Amino acid sequence: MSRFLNVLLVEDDPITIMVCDRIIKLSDFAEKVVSCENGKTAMDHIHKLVAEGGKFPEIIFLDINMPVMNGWDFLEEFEAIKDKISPMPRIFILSSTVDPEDYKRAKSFTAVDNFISKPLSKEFLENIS
Amino acid sequence: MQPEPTTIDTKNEPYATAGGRSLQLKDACMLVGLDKKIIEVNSGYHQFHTLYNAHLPHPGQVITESTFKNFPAEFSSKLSSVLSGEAESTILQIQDTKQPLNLYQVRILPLAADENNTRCVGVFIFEMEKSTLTSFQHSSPEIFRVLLQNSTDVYQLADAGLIIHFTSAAVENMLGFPTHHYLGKTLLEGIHPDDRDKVKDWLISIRSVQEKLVTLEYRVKNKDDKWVWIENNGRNMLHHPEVRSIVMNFRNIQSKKIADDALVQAEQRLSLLLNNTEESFIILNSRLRILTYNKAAQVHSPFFFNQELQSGMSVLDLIDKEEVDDYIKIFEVVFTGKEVEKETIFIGGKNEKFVFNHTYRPLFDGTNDINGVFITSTNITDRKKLTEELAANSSRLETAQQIARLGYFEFNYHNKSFFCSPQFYAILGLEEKTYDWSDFSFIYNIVHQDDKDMVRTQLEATLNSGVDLNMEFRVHEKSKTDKVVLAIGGLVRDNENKTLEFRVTIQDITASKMAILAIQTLESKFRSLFENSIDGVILSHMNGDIISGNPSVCRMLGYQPEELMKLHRSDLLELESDLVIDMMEQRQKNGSYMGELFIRHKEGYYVPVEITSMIMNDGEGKRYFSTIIRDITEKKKIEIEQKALTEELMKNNQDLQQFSFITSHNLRAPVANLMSLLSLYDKQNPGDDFNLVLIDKFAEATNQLNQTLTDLVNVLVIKSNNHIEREQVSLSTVFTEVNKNIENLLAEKGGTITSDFSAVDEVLYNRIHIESIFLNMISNAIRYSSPNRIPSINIRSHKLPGWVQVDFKDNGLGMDLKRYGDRLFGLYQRFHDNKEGKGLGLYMTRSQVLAMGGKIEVESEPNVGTTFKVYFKT
Repeated sequence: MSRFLNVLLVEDDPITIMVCDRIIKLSDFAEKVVSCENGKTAMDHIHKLVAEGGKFPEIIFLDINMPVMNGWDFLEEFEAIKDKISPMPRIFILSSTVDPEDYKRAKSFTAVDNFISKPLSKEFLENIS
Repeated sequence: MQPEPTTIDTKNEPYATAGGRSLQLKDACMLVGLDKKIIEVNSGYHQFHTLYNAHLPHPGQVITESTFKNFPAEFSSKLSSVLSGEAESTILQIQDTKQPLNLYQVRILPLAADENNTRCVGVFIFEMEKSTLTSFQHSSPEIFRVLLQNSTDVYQLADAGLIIHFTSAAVENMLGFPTHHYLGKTLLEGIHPDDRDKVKDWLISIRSVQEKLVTLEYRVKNKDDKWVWIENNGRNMLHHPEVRSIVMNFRNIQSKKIADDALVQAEQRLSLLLNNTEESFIILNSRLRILTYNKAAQVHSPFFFNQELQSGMSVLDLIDKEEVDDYIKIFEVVFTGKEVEKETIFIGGKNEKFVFNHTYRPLFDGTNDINGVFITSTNITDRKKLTEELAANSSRLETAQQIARLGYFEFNYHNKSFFCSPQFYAILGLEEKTYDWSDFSFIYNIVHQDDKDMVRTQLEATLNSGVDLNMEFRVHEKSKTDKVVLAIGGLVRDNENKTLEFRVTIQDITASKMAILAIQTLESKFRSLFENSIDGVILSHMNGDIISGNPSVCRMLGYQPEELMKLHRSDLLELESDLVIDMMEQRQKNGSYMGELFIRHKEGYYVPVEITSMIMNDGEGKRYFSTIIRDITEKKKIEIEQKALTEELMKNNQDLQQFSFITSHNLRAPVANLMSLLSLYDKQNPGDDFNLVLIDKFAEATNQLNQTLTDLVNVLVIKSNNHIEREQVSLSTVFTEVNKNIENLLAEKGGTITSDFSAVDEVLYNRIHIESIFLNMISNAIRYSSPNRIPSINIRSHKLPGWVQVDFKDNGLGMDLKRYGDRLFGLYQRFHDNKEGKGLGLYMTRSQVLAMGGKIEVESEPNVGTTFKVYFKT
């Protein structure tokens, strides 16, 4: 029995998507993983859920460096419409960045729960309750 | 003054007391009412009336203008003004027109009212007494002629043109000329030039008024060509039917005039003398009362200090009580007939002392009795002061010698005597005793060894040849430092060149000599500092005029020293600049200023300098600016270079840090993937399907890592290559080359590229970089072209000062620069959902542009297109 029903993975690298999807499944973290290749498609997905009254993901793993709309752009748009979203998903930034500015910036968004350094591990998923 | 109106009783003899004068039979009277109606008229009036007018007035007749026709105009006008009340009362004299010498006095008076309450005016006419001349004329012309002939006065008649036609015989006696001498001449002839104008005026005034006697004193020439004073009485009788002349009557007043003048002059001289002399006098009578005194006696009050003199006053009242006895004694002596002299001292305000010498002399009357005292005074204040000063001077001289440390020596050739002041001994450090003066060996003994010959030579030159003595020598004293002595002197000779005296003054000038020496040393030290200083030094007046500058500042600013001296601060400084204004203010406020400025070089450019400027007082109260100037051109240059270097370093540092963050991120990403893939690999079942997928992905991730490494190495090559080779590169050639590589890509999209390098084609650049920039720019333009438009790309060069600008313009997708602008040129930044883009191209382009000192700018609009502007430094 998985701990969460629905996880959204916003990530442009297909290998990372595949790996994450596999780890999530193997560790019984979530039953369903939806992935979007950049911030733009992720926002489109959320808008669609809002419009159709679909179930919002409980957890969002968000990469930063993506084309079209990167992680920061996504967070800005997401925060703008968060009144329409309930229950609020917990957002984890998933990045291999080493720039301290990125950590600082991540904390400035209230929607961000935590910062995960790649690769995503089973141990980390087990700590999310 | 107004006469009392007279009451008239018309019933009785009416005019008994009119005007207070007894009437004669011929006296005439007329009463006229205020209504101008004639009340009464007597026969006398009728007689008078007929003189002018045959129509006689009668009582009851109203007077009109025609009533007094042919009367003198005055008569009727005065009458009507009294009648109308305008005039109170009037008296006039009128003439008989037929007998001009007959005069009548007319009185017109307002009269009190009678019982009928009628107010009236009375007209009374009195016949005036006739002149003597008239009597003669009437009685006997012969008597008149004889009288004329024998009179000492001269009678002269002239016509209206002032031409003389009669002169009486007395003239010959008076002036020496016969009577006919004057005939036909004008009255203005023979008159003293100084009097001529006044005579002319006098004659004109005579001629203009009838009958009026006018007198003038003036000078005329006599036969001996001497001027004679005459008093001339003129009367205009031109209208007189029988005279028809201007009548002149003059007499000689020469002696009277001389006597008068002498008297006036004597009086003037005396009063001038008495009142202008500084010598004061007072005359007293025998009872010591003041008879008279002169102005000086009053003004200078030399007798009785600050007391006002008055005739009749007793001098004893002017004297202090304590002094009265002394004065009485003096006067007692004077009244015995002797003169007394007395010195009196007054102390004025401001404690000024006045000394007077008073002389008291007896005054003798005609019988040789003493009837008064004559006191004169002389101010001897200055003389007294001089005497006192003279006395004081001799003692002062002695004091002065001591103060000035001046010694005096004198040898008198006449009586072979010597005189030495005490200071003379003191200065030379000699005992005060008699020395052997025949030679000066005692002097040579004390003179410094090195100065002995000089002193000897100089003394001999003076004594033998009379050369003025002026020498400085050192005196050697036991256990003391040497003294420096200045000796000045010479021989005194009489008119026959005979030597009378040898005089010398000596002065101890050790202190001033030392001071001068010290100043000279100090000055030379300063001078060498000034001349040899590396720093510039400028001395200037408070008004900015430069006094001098040292060689260093001349070199610094390109001027010759003499050129610099003619300059003003405005030639060197930009006086309006904030820096200079601040400098002047601070220096004025604090007395000094330290800071950096720019000074204009002779060539016109500005030298950056560090200055220390201060206000300096010289010993005489004058103020100057002393300014030390250091050229900081090199320092400035280094500062600027350092600043630029630091900025560049900071930028590079940031850039590198960013680069390191990004590279590590991009290296970590595939590594993380590999680690994850590895963790998912099922070692127990190597042949598992998923394991096969993992191995595929493993290979993919490894390639990804390899590609990333390759890219980063390429970037590093660009970034680290500091010595990039440059060559003349033709933009059109580069374009052609690059075009070949993208022909296929372009053909796929069906777009066109146009170029225009007519403005500028050649740049000095690295060919590889330029080709890479062109390739990136063009391929980006094609890659991000709009699916809705046929791609159209335009490349064009421009020439700018210092730059060659190349624009790459497309009509592609465009970008929202507000959103992406800040990271457009960032490493691994991608903006389009396009798998080909790795986010490396623009980063590479920018790095290549920057590496050559250029810059890159972008303009873009979503769905319209993008223009990149690349600037190549020339």
